[in-house]
Amino acid sequence: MDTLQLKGYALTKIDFIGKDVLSSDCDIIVFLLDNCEITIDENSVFFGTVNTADIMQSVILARARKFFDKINEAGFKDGFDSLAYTGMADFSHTTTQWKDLLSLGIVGVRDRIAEYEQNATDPAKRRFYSEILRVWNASLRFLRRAEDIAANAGKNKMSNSLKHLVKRRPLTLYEAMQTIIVYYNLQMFFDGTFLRTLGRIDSLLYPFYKDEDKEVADSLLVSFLREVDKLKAIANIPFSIGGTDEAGLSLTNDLSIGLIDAYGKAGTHNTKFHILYSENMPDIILKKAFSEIRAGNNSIVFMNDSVIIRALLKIGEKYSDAVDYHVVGCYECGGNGELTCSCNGRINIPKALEVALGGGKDALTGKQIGLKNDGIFPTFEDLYTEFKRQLKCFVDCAAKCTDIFEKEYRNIHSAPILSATYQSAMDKGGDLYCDYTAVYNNSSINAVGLGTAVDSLVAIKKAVYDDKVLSLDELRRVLSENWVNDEVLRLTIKNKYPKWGNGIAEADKIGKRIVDDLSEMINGRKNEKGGVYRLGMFSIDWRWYLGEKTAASADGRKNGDTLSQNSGATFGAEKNSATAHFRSVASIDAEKTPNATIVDIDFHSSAVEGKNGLDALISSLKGYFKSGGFAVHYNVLNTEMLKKAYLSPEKYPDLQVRLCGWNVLFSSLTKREQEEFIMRSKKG
Amino acid sequence: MSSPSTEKEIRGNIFNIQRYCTHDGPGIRTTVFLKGCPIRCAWCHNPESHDFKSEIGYNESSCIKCGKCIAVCPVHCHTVMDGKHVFDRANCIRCFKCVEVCPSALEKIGKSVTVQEVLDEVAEDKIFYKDAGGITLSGGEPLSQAEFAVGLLKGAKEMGITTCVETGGFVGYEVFEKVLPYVDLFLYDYKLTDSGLHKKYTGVDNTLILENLFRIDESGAKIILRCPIIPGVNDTEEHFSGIARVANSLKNLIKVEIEPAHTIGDMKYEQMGYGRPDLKYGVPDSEEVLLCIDKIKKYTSVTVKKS
Repeated sequence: MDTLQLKGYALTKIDFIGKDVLSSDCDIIVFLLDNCEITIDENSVFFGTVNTADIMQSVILARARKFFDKINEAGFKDGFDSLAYTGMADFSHTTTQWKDLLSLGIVGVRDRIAEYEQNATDPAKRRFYSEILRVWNASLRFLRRAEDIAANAGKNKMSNSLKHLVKRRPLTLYEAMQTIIVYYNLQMFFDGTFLRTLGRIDSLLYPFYKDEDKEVADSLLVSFLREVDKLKAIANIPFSIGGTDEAGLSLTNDLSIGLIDAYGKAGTHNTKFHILYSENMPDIILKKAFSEIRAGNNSIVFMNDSVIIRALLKIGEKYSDAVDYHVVGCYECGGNGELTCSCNGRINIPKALEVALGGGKDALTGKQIGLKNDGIFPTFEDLYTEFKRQLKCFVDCAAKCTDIFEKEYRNIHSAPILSATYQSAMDKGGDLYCDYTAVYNNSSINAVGLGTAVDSLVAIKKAVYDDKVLSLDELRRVLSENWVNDEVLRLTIKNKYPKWGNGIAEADKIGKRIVDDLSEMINGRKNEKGGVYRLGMFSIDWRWYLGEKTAASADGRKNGDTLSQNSGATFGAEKNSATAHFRSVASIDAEKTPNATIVDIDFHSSAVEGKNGLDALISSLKGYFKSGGFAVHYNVLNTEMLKKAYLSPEKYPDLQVRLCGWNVLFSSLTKREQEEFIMRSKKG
Repeated sequence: MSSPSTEKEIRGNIFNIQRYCTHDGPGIRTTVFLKGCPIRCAWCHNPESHDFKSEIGYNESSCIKCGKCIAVCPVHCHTVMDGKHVFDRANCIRCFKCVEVCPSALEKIGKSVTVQEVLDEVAEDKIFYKDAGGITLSGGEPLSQAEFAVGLLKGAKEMGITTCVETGGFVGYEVFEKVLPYVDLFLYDYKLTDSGLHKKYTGVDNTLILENLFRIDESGAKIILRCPIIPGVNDTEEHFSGIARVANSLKNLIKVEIEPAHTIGDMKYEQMGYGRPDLKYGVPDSEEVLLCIDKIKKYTSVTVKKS
């Protein structure tokens, strides 16, 4: 059936007249599973191409739209539009319970539902089980269709494995990999709930890997990564290696190493590695990972096990769940059993300072988006207190906006495929979203532009309160004129004032303080789902959009310029090397940021060359994590190569760089973004 | 003998502290650049390291012609002529008032600091050094500020931080005697085998330099020999065999490191007001560097590598 017919059917179901969201979603999903187009690429080793035309996304958007009206009605429109704060639903950052999935197989998940249905006495629960059973039965029919198509295409290994997976759990490495890819398709394109990690893949696949012939297994790993690379994703497709068990032992195994080797060979640019580092992780993993990074395969993020576990414990998760955490999307963490909503709310930290100085008004639009004040701040402490009050106001608004959506999940989206894989959802007999049946039903608020805010506060403290170069009113004039008449002051602040990211105590103190304050406002705050809010300190590509709506700031930034990247320095402000950058970011108490603190470290290729360059990278990572770092991404940039790729993109189709939370091809960036990377590569 | 507390108060003049250095000894190192050098190598790319006194760097392209320097200069060194900022260095009294007010283009090169102040910054990266990394003294010629260098090296050792000294060797041996107990590794320059050419290109012959090298070797110091390769100056068979000969005679040599000539830093000559150096040379590509290494290896079995 073609895309238009599929869409036409789905749209009749959106308003679910006489039906609830779960029932209506199940109708659509069953229909899609039975009718969607399945194609098998000639070169494919695994089955994994379906076309559902993103119908579930249209359905979710259509249903969610009316809740944006509620945000406007509740008085949050101006703040939302100015990107001072935002808050909404998040169906985009989940993991499945991979261990269960691989030990049960697709058919085992289906059988488990049937068993629950038979034993159910509560009619509501029983109805839930029978609805999702419809979907999982359809999933098996879908697999049979795929099996036939594979057989017709002469793909015997593929069709045989699909035939087995309809009947039993996966028994071989190939079948386990096929199960992962099939499930990815089921959840992403039929459930419509984005699956943002393939899990701790070295632990998951090891039982299958260890019995395979090593050569066969290693070649399968490369095929698997290439196949995963071809899957449609909203950013990259991440998976993890490493981590520790409850006794603190490293979970690293031969497969962890095999996967890094395969990554080096596969030449992918859509996959992403999360390396879950612990002090007892063998150095060989770090050596291999950094060798890949140096070779330009830099889609690797290091996560610090011990800090992440403590951060999750602090928001009330059980030790066994915290230890078995997952990393979804860019760097966000959730405990085992948590339905991770990592991107609900955002607050713009520099904007809170802007409205503190402007009596609660957006300096670009003149609209009242924060709290009113008299504008008189005799001391820096008075100003900071007011900044904090506005920050709290933004946090409250972001949470209230999020709440508007989250209390209505039952009217927006259900997840019959994903829910069936969660033991807690099966036990409670309800959907993960509609009925909040995860073990942890948390929400998140991410704070953007920390570096810009710190640098601005430091500048105001020094220029206005300590050195008395100008009064606060004069500063207001300077900022409202976008610095045009004060270039000398702007450059003096840019070039000579202390900045976040240089290990300077007076800046680092303020950074730490802001995060401590945000943690008090956000972590543990109750949401609408019986869970709590969690703080994250990252800005990914939002720093561009939020920057565009943020007026000139006291750090010398002009109207609309980008904000600082993630938890790190304002671009170009970190002049004191990587270790000083680490020192600043490590001054944040990252155990208060369960949704991640992340720093991007750029090196010129000459700084990482040779054996000593490699050893130094490892020492830098260990030092940063020992001093309490949460996560880090390294970028090795070669100015000459970037310049050539800028001028002749056709010659460098595979050159990839880290955009923010994920990797992109250099050639896909705008010229402005490419120029920023070239500038960045020149330092160090 | 000075007491430990006053040793930490000894002042020296430095022009940079660079963290996360991976080319100045093992591991992650914090390199402290001491200002001033007794010799003048024709290929030097660090003009800001020459003068023992602080001076002013001026980067014309960053000047926004705000006129702040003109207003504060007591001897009227800064003027604008035909819309161009002219800095008359000959009459500058180095009061640095212009640097204080300049937002972007003028920079004070050199800073008087105490041993303690430097050690405090070096200690900030201790968590990154692990067993290998530590402090490296470079320059200029770090041993020309002997008391200050001793204070830094001794202080670092007291904190359990490893020490390297990058030296050209042109100082009295008594300085080496003082630092020897506190140095884990010397990065020792060996520039030219022919003493006459050495004098021509650096201003001094190499007698004292070689004498010092062999004496510290006798006393057990660990050494990496660092050899700049400047095309047209020392890329000769005679020098390659000379490097090997020296390497073969040292007892505590770890390896020979080749440092290919580069032109990074040329701009700095203009910023420092020194005028471009007369010597013009090409930059060897990586294949030519490997060729040099092979030529040296013909005469010796010690490790020879690019730095």
